[in-house]
Amino acid sequence: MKNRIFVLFVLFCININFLVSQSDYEKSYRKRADSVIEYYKKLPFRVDAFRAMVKLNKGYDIPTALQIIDSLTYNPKGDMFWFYPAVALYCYGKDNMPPEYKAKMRQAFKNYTPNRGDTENHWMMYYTSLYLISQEFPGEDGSTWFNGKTSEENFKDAEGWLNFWMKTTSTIGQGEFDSPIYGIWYVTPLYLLYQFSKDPVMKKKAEIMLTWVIADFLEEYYDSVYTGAHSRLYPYDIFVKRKSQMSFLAAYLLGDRPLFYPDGSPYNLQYNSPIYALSDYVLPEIVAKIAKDRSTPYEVKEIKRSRNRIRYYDERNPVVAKYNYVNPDYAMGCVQTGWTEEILQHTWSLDWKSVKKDEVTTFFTIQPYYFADDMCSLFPEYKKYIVAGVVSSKTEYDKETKVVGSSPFEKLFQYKNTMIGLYDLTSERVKYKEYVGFFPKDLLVREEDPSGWIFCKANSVYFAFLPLKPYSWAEDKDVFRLISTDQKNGFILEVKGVNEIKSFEEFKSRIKKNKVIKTNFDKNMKISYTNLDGITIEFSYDGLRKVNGKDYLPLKYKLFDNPFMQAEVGGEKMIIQYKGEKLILDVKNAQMNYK
Amino acid sequence: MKRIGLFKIFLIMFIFIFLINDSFAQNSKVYFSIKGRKVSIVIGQDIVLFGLYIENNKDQFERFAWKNGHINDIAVDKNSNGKNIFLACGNGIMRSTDYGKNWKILTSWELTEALKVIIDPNNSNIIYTATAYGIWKTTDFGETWSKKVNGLKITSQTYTFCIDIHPSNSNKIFVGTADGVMVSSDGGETWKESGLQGREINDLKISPYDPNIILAATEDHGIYITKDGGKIWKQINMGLYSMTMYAVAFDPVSKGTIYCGGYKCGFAKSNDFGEKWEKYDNEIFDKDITKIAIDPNNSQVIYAGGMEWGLWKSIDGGKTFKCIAEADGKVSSIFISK
Repeated sequence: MKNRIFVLFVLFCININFLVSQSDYEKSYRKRADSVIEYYKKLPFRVDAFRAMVKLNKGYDIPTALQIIDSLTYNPKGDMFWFYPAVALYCYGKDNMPPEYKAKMRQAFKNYTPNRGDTENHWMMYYTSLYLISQEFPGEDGSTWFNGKTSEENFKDAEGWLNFWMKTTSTIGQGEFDSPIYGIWYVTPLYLLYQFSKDPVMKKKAEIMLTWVIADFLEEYYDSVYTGAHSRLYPYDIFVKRKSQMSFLAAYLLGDRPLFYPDGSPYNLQYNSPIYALSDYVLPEIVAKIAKDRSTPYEVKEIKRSRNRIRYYDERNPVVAKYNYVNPDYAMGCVQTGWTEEILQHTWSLDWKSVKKDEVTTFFTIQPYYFADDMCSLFPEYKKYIVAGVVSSKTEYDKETKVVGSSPFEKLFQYKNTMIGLYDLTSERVKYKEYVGFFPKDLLVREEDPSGWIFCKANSVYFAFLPLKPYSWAEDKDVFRLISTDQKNGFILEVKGVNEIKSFEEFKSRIKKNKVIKTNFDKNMKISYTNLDGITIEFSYDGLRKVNGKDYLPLKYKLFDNPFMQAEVGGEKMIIQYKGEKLILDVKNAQMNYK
Repeated sequence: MKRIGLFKIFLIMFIFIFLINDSFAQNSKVYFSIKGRKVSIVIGQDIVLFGLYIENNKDQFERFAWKNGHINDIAVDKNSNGKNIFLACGNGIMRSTDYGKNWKILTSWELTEALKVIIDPNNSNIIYTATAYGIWKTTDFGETWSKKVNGLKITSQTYTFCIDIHPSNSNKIFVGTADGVMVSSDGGETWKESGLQGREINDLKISPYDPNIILAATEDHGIYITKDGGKIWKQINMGLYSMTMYAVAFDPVSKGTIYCGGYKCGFAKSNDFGEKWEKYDNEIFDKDITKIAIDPNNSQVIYAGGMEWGLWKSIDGGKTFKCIAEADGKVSSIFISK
């Protein structure tokens, strides 16, 4: 009896301690996680590893979970998109899995061959899955695995790639960086790696890199949107940014938007969230605080890297310098120099607050461009067929009406609220001799002033766009396209938040007084602009960048440089800070320290 | 007596037919791989119909290896009677030591995008692979691999698309890159430029009877030949309909007879080392031919494969062709074992 009382007392103390030590953030996070678990637990049969995973993990509706395993292991398909949910299901669900179902899943890891894939997110999913599943079954010979390697060989191979990726990302930056879509396929494998790695060093490194990738996202999170430039983005997500996978992740991590409708159906629910909800990982609160604080404007400067180049380049991963200006009323960001790829890169955008559902709250330009040599630098295929090969899955790549994709003939220079874009379209490589500006129909005002400026008013911003050459308009479902076809071309853009200037009228009248110098533009492609803050920005197509007469060198950026995050190129370390709190992510030494 | 006579004739005929068939079956075996089909390939889709195909009877193929849409090349150990097969794949190098029944990926994450694989004709333990990231070599039958890129410029010379080994001097290796031909005289330890710099090499073959004669197919400049081991290259395009050429081959028997195929220009043959090419008005006249293989035992038998047209066979030296397998498949490699 005494022993029982003692045990109850200890349990009571542990619970009290747990409750006391949990911050409000953690409590609300756990509540969201529980709501995800509850939702998935009760879902009916569908061939979906995640609902089976939750059911097994919680010991709820096991027959349905087993029926799902039957389906998942019968004629699997999906390569790494099958592999990581299957591994997650096994790892989270094995304790309540009957032996014959464990054996069935084990057999699937022998019989089904997931391809490794051809991009960084594929490798992240593939090697994380390989690492965890080979760890689950140590000491087994090659005949029991899909690729003929022993458990130890598979483990070592996967461990090698994961360490390589962690080191590369923390020294020269991520290749598939800041993607509102693909970001999820870094976050999810890292959750799994953190949760299930038996090696404490790998577990800690997974925790560090998970925090790193999420912090990299949330520093640029504004009004439910992943702002700034993106390595890869699909056309749909450009105009419906708040429904991107990473925005749903933010809703889950931050609780800034409901995950479910009042009737319990999913609203902003990221489909990988059961993996997060069952995990012990909780985002450090300092990162959540940073994500929610947009009280003062700040600059974000980052170094990233190009996607692997296999030919026609002098470097394997040319450097990419990225910039974002996050303001209480808007965010505007771009790739200042370099580019990671030509297919899905979203090179720049201005984003502002939304006041109604599914409103288009973004403005950007692109130079519609495609070229076989660029694709050959990414894929080992014949040049004559490569564009068709890319178009077979990325259907907009070679279209004039495309809305994503980078062009080496588009050069940008942004300094805070001002952007200059220059285009030299004289090259034979440029098939579509134009650049296009996308003006949403949801703008409150879009007016062409006799001065040449186009003035726009949106919910939280005013912006002025000055095309340097003549243009015409075309109309699409959501936007008016400004199309300018002069081969030596460009624009100036200046933005002000509605809280930064008295009125739209004042904005317009003051903009018109700003000085634009573009003498001999068609010859030197050089422009000088003095903005509303009196800052003179000089930019030329061949690379001159000056701010108030001083050279501006994006290639000298740090790996991360903003008020909240600091990291040096080559450093393998990030310092996250917010109002006196500090968190150090030390990848090299696998340490995560609060100060 | 009459009955016995008929029986004897029947028996002789049977033995004759059997021997002919048997000689075909024993003398050559065709391997090919399908990398894609007319339908698009998207990662994650079910691509079970891709993979390695091995001839099990005359003109009949059985699909081997695992589901892998990225087999780029095949090499069969000539000393193993078809037992040891190597594949160059997007995932790395795969090996089977039981006629294709079971497979193992031999390489790690560091060796991927393997585009060609070739076994040293004088030592089956030595194997090279040309990858999108450079040359790799094994000296222990594929157990361990080391990167051999000393002298190759990043990235265009490390993009190695084709490789061939001198038939009698195993240390001498030629490689076709995105920036010309490279040669090694020390088994891949170091590489030097061997001409055609600025040209992207799609295929390269050393002559079986004179190793100083080498053919190269290029992306934009047609076919080249050297007769002095890579010092001087001569462009040989008279009669060709395209400057984008993908495949070259030597006739194993007839000196001076060479073959090529390319972009929308079908198959061409020359009997004078490419001084003049002859094109037949046949079934593959305007098709994209990316692979050509000549039966080493009968050079009238020629196989051609290309982009989404399947595998084609000629039994009359290329005058006529017939599709014999996977008519919508993109043939990524053809290998004929003796």
